[in-house]
Amino acid sequence: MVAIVIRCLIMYILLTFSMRIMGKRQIGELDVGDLVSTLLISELAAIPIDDPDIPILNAIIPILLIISLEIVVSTIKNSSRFVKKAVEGRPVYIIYKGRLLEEALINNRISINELLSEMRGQNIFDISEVKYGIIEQNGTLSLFKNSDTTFAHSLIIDGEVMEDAVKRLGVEKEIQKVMTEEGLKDIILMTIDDSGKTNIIRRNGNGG
Amino acid sequence: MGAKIFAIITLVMILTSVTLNTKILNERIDEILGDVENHSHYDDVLATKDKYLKYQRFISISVSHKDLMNIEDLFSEYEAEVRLENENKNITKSRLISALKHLKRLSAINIDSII
Repeated sequence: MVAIVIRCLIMYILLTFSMRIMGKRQIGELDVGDLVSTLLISELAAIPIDDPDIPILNAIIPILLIISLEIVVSTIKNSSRFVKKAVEGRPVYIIYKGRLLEEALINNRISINELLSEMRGQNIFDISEVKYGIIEQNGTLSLFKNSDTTFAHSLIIDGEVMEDAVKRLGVEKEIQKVMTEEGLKDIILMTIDDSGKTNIIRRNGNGG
Repeated sequence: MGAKIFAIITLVMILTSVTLNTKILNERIDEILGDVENHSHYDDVLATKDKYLKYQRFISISVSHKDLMNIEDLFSEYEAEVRLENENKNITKSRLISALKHLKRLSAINIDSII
């Protein structure tokens, strides 16, 4: 029994350390990688507490491995767009300029009832009030109402052109101009709002 | 930055220590297996059992205690049967060898241990 208590303490300290080192995202909204690692770690931590015959290292080593992999994969995601897209996916519009995009709903396996339920959770009781609805990478729904002030569409994120958004908004010429005049490498974020006003944030804090 | 350094160091340490642990564990088990297979006297059995108990602390880092207890029990049984010149001693010796080979197979890096 003493061994189980000590194992429990060790796993508790290890889990607290794990959550701390993996960052606040683990505690807040989880993306796919965070969810997988959190689930695995919690299962692994229970094993040596539950079964004293199993060496405690059989849980500690896999947990440390998962923590390390999570940090390494996060680092790679931040420097590789391909990996980021493969692991996280992209936010998806399901309501665009007040129009419900049925195909997007079907592709993301969201029913109308689920959409209405989410809306009610955000105190919106009439779908016609919604101008834009986006399913985020972590599965949450972000809604922008007609009465809200501005909505900025992302055209370039971290040097990568958001082709879907550019095509949808018909701003290919603007993007071409930016690419020709300054290139994409230094642009962290470029947005355009519904009035056509663009905003570019460059590396080293140079905005405009 | 600290987290990244921690992650890389941890990954390297885990891979290195697990590989080393597997290698040393296999060497120890091979040594004990060799001794058991060449047993002829009661003193040999005692010596091998003592060796196993000496290595057990290292082996128990990564092997289930049930498997270790099983081998320890078989050693005790074999020891008793050799001392009493029991006719079942060869059967027990065979069971002990099988248990050690099973342990070696599961401790190594191969398909059996992964599945």
